[in-house]
Amino acid sequence: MSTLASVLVTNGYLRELCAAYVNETIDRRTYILERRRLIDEAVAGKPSAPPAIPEPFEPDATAMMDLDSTMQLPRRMLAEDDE
Amino acid sequence: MRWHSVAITDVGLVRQINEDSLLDSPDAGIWAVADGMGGHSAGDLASEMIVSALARLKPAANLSLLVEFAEHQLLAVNERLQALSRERRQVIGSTVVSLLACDSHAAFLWAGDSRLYRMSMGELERLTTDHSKVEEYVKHGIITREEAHNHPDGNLITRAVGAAEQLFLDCNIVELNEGDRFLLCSDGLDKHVHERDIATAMVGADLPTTARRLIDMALAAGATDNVTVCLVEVLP
Repeated sequence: MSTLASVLVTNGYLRELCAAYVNETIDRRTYILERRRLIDEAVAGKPSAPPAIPEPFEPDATAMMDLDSTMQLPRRMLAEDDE
Repeated sequence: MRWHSVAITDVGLVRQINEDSLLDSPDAGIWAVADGMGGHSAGDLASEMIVSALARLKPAANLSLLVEFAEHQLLAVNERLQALSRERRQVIGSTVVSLLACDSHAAFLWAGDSRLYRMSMGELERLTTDHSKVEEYVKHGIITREEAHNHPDGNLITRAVGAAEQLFLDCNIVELNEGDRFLLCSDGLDKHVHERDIATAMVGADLPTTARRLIDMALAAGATDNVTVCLVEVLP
């Protein structure tokens, strides 16, 4: 990989890394170590792996609440409330 | 790589004091523009503290270490400004944009709306993204990039050295190529001078003439703020 191509790839990775640090997705130590790695690799013209940023937490779709199985109040109780 | 540079700052036509500070240190390969806020004996002090701290940077073995040294210095200034702000009960801070060259590459660190541009092969490219309300409006599609120019919220920045307990500096790198020109500037320039006019001014003249031309364009447009430009050219 040419250093120009390497720098272009690193530009995107560094933007992601800075954003992850600002959003507190990664801690300061990880930020500094990853930034150092990305810059050193770009300067050496080496292809870089993306920065190690944990995926944002998203609930597993299969673990979502099944609305059909939610508890329903018996009709009689609802009728009493109306009264 | 070798380079040469020129820097000019001007108080402008409205302000009484110049709260901008600059660092033009081609021997060390370090340049910076800082735009202070907080009024007399505050904004100018903040920006001066930043450039003084960067001027004390020791040579580093490589670019990533140079970035770490620079960040360390700026974080220390942030702490001192925070203490000063508490003592004086006022916000004292400053934007910063700095260019750090090491062999064939350079890194740039910034906070706030002071900018870094690169003129390469006749194309002007903005390398920094403002930490400002207006930039957030553009990012979220509320206004267009064209509408951002001279927007009424143009003075609202979201990051600055000294503005918050924790300072987040943005960082990126660029490859240095012969003939490339870099422009570091305070918002006193881009507030008044459109990027297409900056691009036109950046070609066809030597660095001192170009720097003077940029300042004069801001002055001709009213220069309601301090104006600072720092030009760096990569030599063969």
